[in-house]
Amino acid sequence: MQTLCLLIGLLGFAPQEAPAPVPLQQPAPAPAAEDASPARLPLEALTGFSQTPAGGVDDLFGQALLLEFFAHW
Amino acid sequence: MPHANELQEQFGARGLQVIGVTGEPAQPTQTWIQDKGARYAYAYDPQRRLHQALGVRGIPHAVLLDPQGKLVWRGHPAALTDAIVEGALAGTLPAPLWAWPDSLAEVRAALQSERLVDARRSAEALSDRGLVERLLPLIELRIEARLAALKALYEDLDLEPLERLLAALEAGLAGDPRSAALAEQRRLLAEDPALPGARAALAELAAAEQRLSEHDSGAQALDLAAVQAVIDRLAPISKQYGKQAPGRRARELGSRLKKLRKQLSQGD
Repeated sequence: MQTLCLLIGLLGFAPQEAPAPVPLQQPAPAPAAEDASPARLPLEALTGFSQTPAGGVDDLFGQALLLEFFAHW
Repeated sequence: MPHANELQEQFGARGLQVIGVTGEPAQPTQTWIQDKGARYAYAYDPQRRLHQALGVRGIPHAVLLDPQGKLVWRGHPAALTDAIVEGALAGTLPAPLWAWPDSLAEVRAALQSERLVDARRSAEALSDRGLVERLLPLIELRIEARLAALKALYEDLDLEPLERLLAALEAGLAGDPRSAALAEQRRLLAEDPALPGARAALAELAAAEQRLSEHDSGAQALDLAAVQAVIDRLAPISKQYGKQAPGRRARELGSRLKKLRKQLSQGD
């Protein structure tokens, strides 16, 4: 199953439930992961946490974080 | 969305926190989240600073950080497998800060206020040695990450968060040998000849953002000439500071102002 999911991801197809990618205004290649070192991630920019008692990202100390960028439409 | 819900339910108890990130306003987003049934946290990036720092150009887009804050994976959320998540869970603490028991209250309070030396001292005094062995390396990494962040913010000329973080660390790292780096950073802030210009640019950006905010709220409408004047003032900031924080901020604001200019032109 994991192999299948990875293969699907690599081929650029999303499962039926996944929303279609929405291009933003200035298409450009994303930087390599090593260019976005933790020190340069302005996580303090995240505000207004909801559906969790966290007051900010610091309250998630010691946890792994999956940041999912999305938009509603 | 369903995949993110599944990941939160499957791995949440083992130290994974899914956070939906949007640059859009709160109210419509919360309505949308309720309609869609998201069961994980979400947070706002109103100035899109995180979007910009990560170069997010298309959505949905996901980024996985391990408990040390290291970026370990990025891509379309549907391509994130269980195996990748498993690999990021090594070293996670049993629960996020707000869910820690009262026995950890001192460590939690110290971490939340950047009193990192106090956090280390309180952690060392805990009776649960297994937890101490997991906590101390994370606190050490947090100290290193904060110092690295200070350097990155300085190189980026992101001066407001830099000054807040520096002040917090001067208090919270007192007595630690690494605090010498803080004195050097303070000296640079006072003596670097490039900083007065950057501060002036940031002040100009803040004033422009305030004017746009007042327009958006209806408090004080901007007309076409005023919008154009602000756009004209942003252009040299964007050019001078390029990829540094003032330059990025000027372009983000310029983009919003150009949309407003188009709306006002069509209104005429």
